[in-house]
Amino acid sequence: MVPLLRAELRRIVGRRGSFYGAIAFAMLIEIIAVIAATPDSDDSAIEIASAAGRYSGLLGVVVMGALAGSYDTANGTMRYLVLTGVPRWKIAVVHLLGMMLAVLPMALLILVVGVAWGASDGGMTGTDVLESVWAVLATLWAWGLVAASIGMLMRSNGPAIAVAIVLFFGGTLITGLVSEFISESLSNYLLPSAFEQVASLEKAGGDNDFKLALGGAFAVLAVWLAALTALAITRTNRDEY
Amino acid sequence: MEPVISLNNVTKKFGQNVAVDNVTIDVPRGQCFAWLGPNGCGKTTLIRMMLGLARMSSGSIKVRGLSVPGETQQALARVGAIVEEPRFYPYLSGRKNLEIWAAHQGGGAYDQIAPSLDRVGLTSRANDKVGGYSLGMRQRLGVARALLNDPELLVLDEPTNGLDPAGLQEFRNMIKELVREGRSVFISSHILSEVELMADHVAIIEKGKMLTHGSLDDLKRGGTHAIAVRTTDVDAAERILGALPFSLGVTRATPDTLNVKVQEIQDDMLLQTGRELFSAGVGILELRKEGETLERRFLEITGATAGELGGRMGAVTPGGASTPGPAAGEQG
Repeated sequence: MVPLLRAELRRIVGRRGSFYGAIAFAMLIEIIAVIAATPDSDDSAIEIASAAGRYSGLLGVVVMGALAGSYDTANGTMRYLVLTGVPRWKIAVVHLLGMMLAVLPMALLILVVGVAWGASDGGMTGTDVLESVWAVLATLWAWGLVAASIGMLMRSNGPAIAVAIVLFFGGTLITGLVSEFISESLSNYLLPSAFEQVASLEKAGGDNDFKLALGGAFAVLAVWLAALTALAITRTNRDEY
Repeated sequence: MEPVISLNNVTKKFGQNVAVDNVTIDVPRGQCFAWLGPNGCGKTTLIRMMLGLARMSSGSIKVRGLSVPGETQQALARVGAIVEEPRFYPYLSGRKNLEIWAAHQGGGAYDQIAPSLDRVGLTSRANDKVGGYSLGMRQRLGVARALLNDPELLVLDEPTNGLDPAGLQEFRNMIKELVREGRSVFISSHILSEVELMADHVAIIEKGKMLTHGSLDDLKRGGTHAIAVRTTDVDAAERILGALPFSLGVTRATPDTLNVKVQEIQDDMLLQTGRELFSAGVGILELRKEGETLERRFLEITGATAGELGGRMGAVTPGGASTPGPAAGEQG
């Protein structure tokens, strides 16, 4: 599995435009946030920096992930990967795991900037750092997996990127509409809401809209990710190349 | 000896369209086998099924004695292939591309990268990005990739596409060398002249059906031969030649040349042909035996004229209508 992951990383990093572009965009937005924002008692410096980094990085990760999932089929290289005798499900799993590894440099840079600002601003605790680490990783991993799965399901680069981006923005919009007009409880079971609760590690109640227990939110997010990745692996397994 | 590929009543349907129709054949080991047919006749579909890339509608396939699907992974362990066209990661160099496939193949594949690049003559360009390669270079890199797992069987789909004349010759030599090493090579092609120069065995497929197969020599020998006549009066010559007792039919190969089909050419046929035209006052510019070519045999088997196939097949000379001769009815 290790040589396959190494090869997958080489493919993802080799698509320099999407890989370095995603990192550069996240860094740019985070640095603007560092320059422009003012930390207060509600939002510490590291929270502001990591939120700016992870949400802007998410856009790049959606593109990277969609390409990681769709590129081989769209480019015609998938049939040659299948011809190596590696089981198709394993090729699909490598696409997904490779994506999770490929976001680590971006996560690291987002956190380095956040921690540096938090340290210079003062008052940063170990808990703040750990929460930021979790929030950044959860964001990039969850949406990386979602985007890569959509890529494998769509099999075509452009539509995969478009659908992954629409799913992110549209999903957030739909969740808001469901919460407003249908059922606030139901909206908690939708992917964007469950993801937000898991990334922020917030419990139900208080001044947030979350109605699920934190464990429940983890379970809902896991079900969403499992369903999407299972569909992607199944399609990879069944398709003709 | 067990065939390297065994197809048994293999059929592939796309809805109502039958792409491969009940094909049964054993491909012998250690030879160059060519799968010959016009574009869109089902060659690539059949290859994709053989390699486990596509599912059969019915039938059974064995590659290296192992069932596909079922034992695909083991069957492909020593199979190298180019399917449709060689595809790579254009943003990586040729060498890095091969490293990616070697990582998937495992075993000694990594050690085969340098020898494979050397064999296809790409060592000096191995560190260039594949995006800058010509189609011919990508074909050669495709062959290098197919050689990484020391294949017992090479399956090459239209492998000469994009090769220049020098590259074609190198490629033919490489195929012959691979066969000499004891490997089996399965080529699909629509270029008759190329197949004739490379293959030991040929199967002819059209519209998904296999029309015939056999050794190249047997296949060519099995057909009719022809006497080519270049004349000053084609219309008069066509009437006279069509009435010759040994004539199986007359076709126009070029505007001033007729081909008289015969079962087997004998010298007295040439003499009689010349005599008949001479006595009728028809001028003879050239009179010769037409050699046994795969092209002629292919046209006979598929029942098409050269003109019909000209647009679909390579190396077919344009021609025209044919007139059956008196001996035509005597054929089985």
